[in-house]
Amino acid sequence: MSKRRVGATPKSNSLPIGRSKEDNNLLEALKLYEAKSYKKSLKLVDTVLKKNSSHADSLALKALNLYHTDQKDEAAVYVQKALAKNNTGGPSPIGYHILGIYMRSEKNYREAAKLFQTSLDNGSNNKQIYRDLATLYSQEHDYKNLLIARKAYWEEFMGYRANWTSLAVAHDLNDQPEEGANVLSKFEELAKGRLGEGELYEHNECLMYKNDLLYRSAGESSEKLQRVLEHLDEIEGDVFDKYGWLERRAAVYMKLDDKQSAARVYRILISRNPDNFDYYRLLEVALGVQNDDKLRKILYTNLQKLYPRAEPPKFIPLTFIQDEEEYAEKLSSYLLTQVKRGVPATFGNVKPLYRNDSERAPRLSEKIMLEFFGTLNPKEDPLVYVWSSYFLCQHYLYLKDFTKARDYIDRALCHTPTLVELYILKARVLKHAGLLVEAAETINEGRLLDFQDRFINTKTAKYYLRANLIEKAVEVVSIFTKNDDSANGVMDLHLMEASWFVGEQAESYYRLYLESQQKLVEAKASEIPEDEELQEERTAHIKHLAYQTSKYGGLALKRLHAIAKFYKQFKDDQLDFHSYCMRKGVPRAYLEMYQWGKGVFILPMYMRALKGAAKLYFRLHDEQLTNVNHESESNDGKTPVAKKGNKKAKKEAAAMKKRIDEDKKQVTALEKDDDILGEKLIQTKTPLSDFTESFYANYAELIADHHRDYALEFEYQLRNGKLALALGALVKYTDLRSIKNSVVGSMLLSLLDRVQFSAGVDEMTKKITLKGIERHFEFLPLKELVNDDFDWLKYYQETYPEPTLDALLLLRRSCMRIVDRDLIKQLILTNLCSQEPSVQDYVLKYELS
Amino acid sequence: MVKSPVNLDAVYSNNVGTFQKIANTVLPVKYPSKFFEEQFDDKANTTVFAQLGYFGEVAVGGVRAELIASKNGGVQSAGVYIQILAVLEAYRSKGLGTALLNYIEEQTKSHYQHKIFVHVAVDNQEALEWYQRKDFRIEGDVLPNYYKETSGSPDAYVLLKKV
Repeated sequence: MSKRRVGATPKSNSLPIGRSKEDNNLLEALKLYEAKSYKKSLKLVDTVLKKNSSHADSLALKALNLYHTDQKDEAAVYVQKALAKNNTGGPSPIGYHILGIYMRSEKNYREAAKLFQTSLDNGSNNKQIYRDLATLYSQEHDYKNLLIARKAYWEEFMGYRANWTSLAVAHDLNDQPEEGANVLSKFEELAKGRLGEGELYEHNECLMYKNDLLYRSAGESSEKLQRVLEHLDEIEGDVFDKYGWLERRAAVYMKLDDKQSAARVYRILISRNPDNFDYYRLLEVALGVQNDDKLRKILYTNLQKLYPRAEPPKFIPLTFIQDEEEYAEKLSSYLLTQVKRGVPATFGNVKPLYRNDSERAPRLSEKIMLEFFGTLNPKEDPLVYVWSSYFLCQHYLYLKDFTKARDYIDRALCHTPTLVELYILKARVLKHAGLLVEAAETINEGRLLDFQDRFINTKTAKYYLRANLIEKAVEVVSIFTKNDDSANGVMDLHLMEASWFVGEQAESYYRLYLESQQKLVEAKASEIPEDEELQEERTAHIKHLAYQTSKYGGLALKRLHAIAKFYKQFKDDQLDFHSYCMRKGVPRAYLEMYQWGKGVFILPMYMRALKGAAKLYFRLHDEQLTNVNHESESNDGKTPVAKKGNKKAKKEAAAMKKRIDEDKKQVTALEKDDDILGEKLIQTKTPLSDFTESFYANYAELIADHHRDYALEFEYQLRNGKLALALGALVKYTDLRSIKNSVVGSMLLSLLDRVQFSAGVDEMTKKITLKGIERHFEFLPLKELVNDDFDWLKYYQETYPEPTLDALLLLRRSCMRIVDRDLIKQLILTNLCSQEPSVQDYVLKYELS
Repeated sequence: MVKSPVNLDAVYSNNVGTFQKIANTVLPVKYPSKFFEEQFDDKANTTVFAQLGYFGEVAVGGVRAELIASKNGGVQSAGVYIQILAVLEAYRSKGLGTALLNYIEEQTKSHYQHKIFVHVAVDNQEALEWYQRKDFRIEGDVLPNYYKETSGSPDAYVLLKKV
């Protein structure tokens, strides 16, 4: 029944009978191309082109062959040539198909889809194109065309189950679940009794998928929901996913308001997996006890008896018991059983309680644990003693009492210095206390205990990166990487798309960039000494710092760009799955991936890279604005003393080159890279559009309104000179938070600053923006804008008496003239007193420089 | 029957750091890293018996002993010499030391040896008593200035057990 066809794109013979010699040759060449004999194919195409240089199909095939023989630039030229022939006859359907394949290889999926479509529209009878077309439309989320393509392909090749499944999914994506279910039903009828053993899994997945479709199309109609239940009964024997089957059953009962039956199913689910919290919550709802703590308590007491080893029945009561005495008792038994058993994650387990019950939970847990700790003899129950101190350290760390946290972790380490977890925790405590180098050394001490432990290896690398000790980090992490052709593991980590490392390294380079830039500024400002030798020394020093600054900045951008690339890759990699998942018969898993794929550019790591890139590019942008007038100064680094003997200069240049080569070896991240140090990236003249192109556009396209980071958007548009859009972001930000939020105040002042002083924005925009501000923020004393003596900072302080650190930093970053930046600095310093040491440190070192 | 929390396992080049940590925490003598790595040097022509002692799943003790060939170059060996036997303070009196020593005794027997030697600093009362409880006897006189880099006494006794 379901024979499966594997990939490749054969082209059928779609040319008229009286074909020309050129077309004959082309077909020959195509065959060679398909056999991957690109060079031979190229040769043949060239002979055609020699006689007829405007044969569009040959041009297209030449491009494709060039593409596969690593001559991508030339390939692009020939594609343009082929396309330009559009009006003079143009490529044949085959030609368009070839061009489409080229575009697909170039990952330009939209264009590829267009070309495939043209090929079909121009009379290609190669029906395989529909399948490729469908994958492209899937990739581009063009559901309407997807359905058309899937249908056309299905009509041609009904003998494959994959095509039926694909068609059903296409219906589903077009919000036609019922049609989808019908398609699947028809196939089931056809396949009845003819399924081999190897197809049973696929069959089970498709059955459950059909149930999904029925369930979704049922809505609230009880008649249809009954039908879903009946269907579940029908397929029970064939379904392997018993959890899914039961969960669906319970969900249908809930919708039908048959709570008793639902509760029965949830109890079955709990008995199958008593550690799934969701089932308990749903059982509560089914029983209708979710708001009655008394009944809930009885429920969980019973469940605990039934499942004495399960976690949820013990934990959930802690989330609702009001009576303090009872709560303390429950908490105590919960905590102590775990600590006595030496469960390392005990604190992690109660952390949700700390968060939701922020007064009572920490207070009581501290009391319980201290009392218990007091009764312990470190020699009688050594492990209990260690894990209790471990818990207490985490407890105090959570409360930001670093002294006590350190005290407990030191006790534990003194007692059992061979436990790796203790080093990790101590490093965390030190990190929060702002002692980054000590933290890295501590965790490294733990790493030395066990070289096989990959977890602590990566943690150590991360801590070294936080401490800006990049070389050490690379040395440590390289123990676990493949380092065949490179000096260290950096290249392998890029190949493995290890964003955790690449991202941390980017941030580390960024900090080093700021540090050396600061030093460079200081060195340039230093007095030029009289003595010639000292003068030379100073010049060399400046040269060195300038190189460092450019290197670190370049590498920071290089790494950030690498992350953007990883995520682009995640998106592109989905292409193969649109057909693969159908052939494998896993539509449910496929749809899950498909939904995930929509959000790759808002995943946390991408966001982190995006924000990191924003910081650096915004900085470059701001620097360019202020530096326009000082351009000539930048030559300061070059020898003011006239060239004194070419020999010496040559020697210096050679030393410098050697150093750069050595650096390059250490940081090479990609094969065949012509900008290893990211020099081209950092020397950009257009930082904002670089940022948009490589980072922001992808994000802005994907993000839903309520997830959007309006603070970031505000800063972006502000620098872009799009003040109206910046105002738009500000208004949205205000809607989501409150008008009293101090960040709103900072944004307002920044906007006024631009309106008032920015030379790069035209008067019309300024006026519109001002009008907008007036409308949305009536309370602002806008008439004072003409008054030069008005103290806006004082106004800010009065309106926002307790500004957050973020608000103040934003104010300092974005206001040029409206308020005195030194005064803001003072405010920031005052604010820092109430911050955690690690934050203080960071801001002092990197934000205020 | 409750499973005993005490277990032994070999020392590997990957976790020799743990062994080093235990030795340097418990003993007043500081051993350099080189000493510990030596065990994994294929060229070194010595027979070493080493084990880590685990309590629960935490390594808290260790032993390392060497087979000493006879001085006169014959086939007979002089015996087994315990270089390090250490258990973290909090984990003593739980049978770890005994287990580690038993291991050495087994190795001694299976290598057809009859003597186990150990040096103990003269001021290390706890260890002296412990070894004597395990049927070790002081052999000969005090060795003056036996330990070089130590925070305790530099003088040592030689203890011997015949098996």
